[in-house]
Amino acid sequence: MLRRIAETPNGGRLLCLDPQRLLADIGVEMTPECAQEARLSHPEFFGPTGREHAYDTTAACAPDGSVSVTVSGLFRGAST
Amino acid sequence: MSNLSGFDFVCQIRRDKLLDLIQANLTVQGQALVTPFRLVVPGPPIGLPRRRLNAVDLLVKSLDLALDVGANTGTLILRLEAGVIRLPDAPDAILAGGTVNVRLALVDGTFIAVKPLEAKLDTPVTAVIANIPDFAARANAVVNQVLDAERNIDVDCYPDAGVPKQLFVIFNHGRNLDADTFCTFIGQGDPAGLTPSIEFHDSVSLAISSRVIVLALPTAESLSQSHVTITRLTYTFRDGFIDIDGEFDGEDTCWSVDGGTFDQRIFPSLSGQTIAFTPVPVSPNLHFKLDLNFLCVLGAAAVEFLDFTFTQAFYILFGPTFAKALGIKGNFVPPETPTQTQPVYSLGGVVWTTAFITSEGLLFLGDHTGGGIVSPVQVPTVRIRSDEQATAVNVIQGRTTVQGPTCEPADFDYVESSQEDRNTLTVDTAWLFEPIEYAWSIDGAPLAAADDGVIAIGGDGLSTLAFTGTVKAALPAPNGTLIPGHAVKLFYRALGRTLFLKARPEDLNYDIRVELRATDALGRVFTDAANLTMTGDTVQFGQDYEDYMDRCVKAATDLVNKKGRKQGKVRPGEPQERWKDLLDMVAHQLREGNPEAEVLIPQLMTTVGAKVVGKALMVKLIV
Repeated sequence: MLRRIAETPNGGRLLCLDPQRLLADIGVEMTPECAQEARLSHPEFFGPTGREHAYDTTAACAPDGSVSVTVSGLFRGAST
Repeated sequence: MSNLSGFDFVCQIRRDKLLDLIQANLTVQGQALVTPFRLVVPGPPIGLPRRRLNAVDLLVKSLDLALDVGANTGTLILRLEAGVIRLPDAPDAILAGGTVNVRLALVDGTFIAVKPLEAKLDTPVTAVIANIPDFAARANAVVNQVLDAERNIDVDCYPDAGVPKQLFVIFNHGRNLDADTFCTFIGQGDPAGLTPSIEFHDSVSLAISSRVIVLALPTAESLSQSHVTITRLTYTFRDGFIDIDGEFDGEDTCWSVDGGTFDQRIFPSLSGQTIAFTPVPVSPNLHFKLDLNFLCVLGAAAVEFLDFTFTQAFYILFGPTFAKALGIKGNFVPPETPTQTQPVYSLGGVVWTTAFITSEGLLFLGDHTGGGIVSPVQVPTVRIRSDEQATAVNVIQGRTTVQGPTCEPADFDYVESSQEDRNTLTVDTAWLFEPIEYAWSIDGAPLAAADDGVIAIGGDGLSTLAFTGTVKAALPAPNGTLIPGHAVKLFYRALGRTLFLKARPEDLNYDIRVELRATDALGRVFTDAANLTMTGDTVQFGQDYEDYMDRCVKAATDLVNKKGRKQGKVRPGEPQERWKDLLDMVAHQLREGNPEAEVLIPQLMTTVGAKVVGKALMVKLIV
């Protein structure tokens, strides 16, 4: 998943804007139970974010090279 | 070319405006330098009776200022209209033109202050001057005394300088950059490297070094906060703008940035007396890589913060503090206007017109408004002032018959006074040089000047002017009787600027014209004249006479106007005025062909005299 995020243009920034949508866009399918768990543990990311427009805009832009986000882990537990 | 040459502050002012400031604040002999003015040094008493003439008597007509290039001195040039120098045992040295040159120090340690040092005379050599031994040194010794009250005293020439004065007031130095530019500066620099920055339309400039400006700008430390550290912040002054660039690191629980950079430019512009700093682009250019260790709110916030909010932090240069700008996402309120403004230093009387950044710092250009003191026009003049007194020597009461026009004759009581008329004429002069010679004359006959060195014992010390002329007795009313060929004697004493006149009562009333010719020390001649009536015989009537004359005039006026064109009302006034109005009206109606007016002519001749009526008719009929 980290590799796919890195390969996605503006992937790090899109992850911050809407992880659930980005994961879906890079081919990660979450079972209903997993999605429910994610919503419970990270409601600020896996619920309504209100950032749909920002996500679409960022996704449509080519990376300008001046600002980049490198993702080295998804969840605190996963990276430790 | 350098506006600052390493100094922190440099203020330049054009020579003519510096002269304006000096003129408005410096005095010489306690008097303002409002031309024309006199410079006077009294001389020792001379002659009999003892009197003082001025050893120095100079008339200053205009001012100029010469600056010593490369130094902090100059010369205030007092241009002379004329003057006279009187040295002991030497003839009067008459000056036509020339200058008095006042050496000035432009004092260090004050903003703009001058200290008069010495005054010297510079005048063309005349034949008289050439024959006075050691004239220049002797004249300068006495001319220098005009500075006795002000010599070596600092005079603040810019009392309303405002903030710049506070900046410059202690450690500054002055220097004339060229013949037209004085500058005052503080800091550590090379004075020889300074060049004039004032351009054609400006008269004042104020330069502030980039070092001083940067001291007032935020530092990397002040811009840093708990999660973002500005590791470098650089301000680079270019011609026209300031380059801002730097580096930063950042980290929090779930993210970090290492070696991010930013850059932006700020352009100054002047709007009125306020300077505006406009950032270009509105948000700084950012370059950074953020490592997100794991998905967290702070990480997401950091992206937004660094990408959008952090850029706004540079408005701290002239706006909100970085601490406020660093408020957690959602609390940050971007500045409503990206351009920040500041009032420009207020320098009294100066309107700033331009501000721009140079590689050395910030330079303001402006104009000192006003043009110094505009002097009123002063013309040398002489003017005769008259003071009349009379002493009655005899009073007669009687009764006489008077006939006004259109009226029946009537008798009136009168009081006739015979008096000794005295008149003292005094000459007031302006802008003349002593000594002044006065020559008096009466009706063209010169009067002998009294000897002011003679003390007369006994007698009244008066001279006599005898002439034959026409005098006039007060009776009969209203215009008296002309007596031609009368031998008149008029007593006088002409003593300098004063002429005393005393008329005999038996000479009744007569007119004289007194003329004065005044020649001052420069040989300039001025004249004035006064027409006087010596009054030795007067008559007074009661109110019944006035009422009678009013009725007569009104009746005559009505008669004249009956068939004629209305010419306005006869005004109340003295009998003489009444006759004049009536005469004018009759003459006018005669010209219009009114026979009623013609009937009045004989009566008017009887009343006011054929000569007066004839003159009025002549004037009117010619018109």
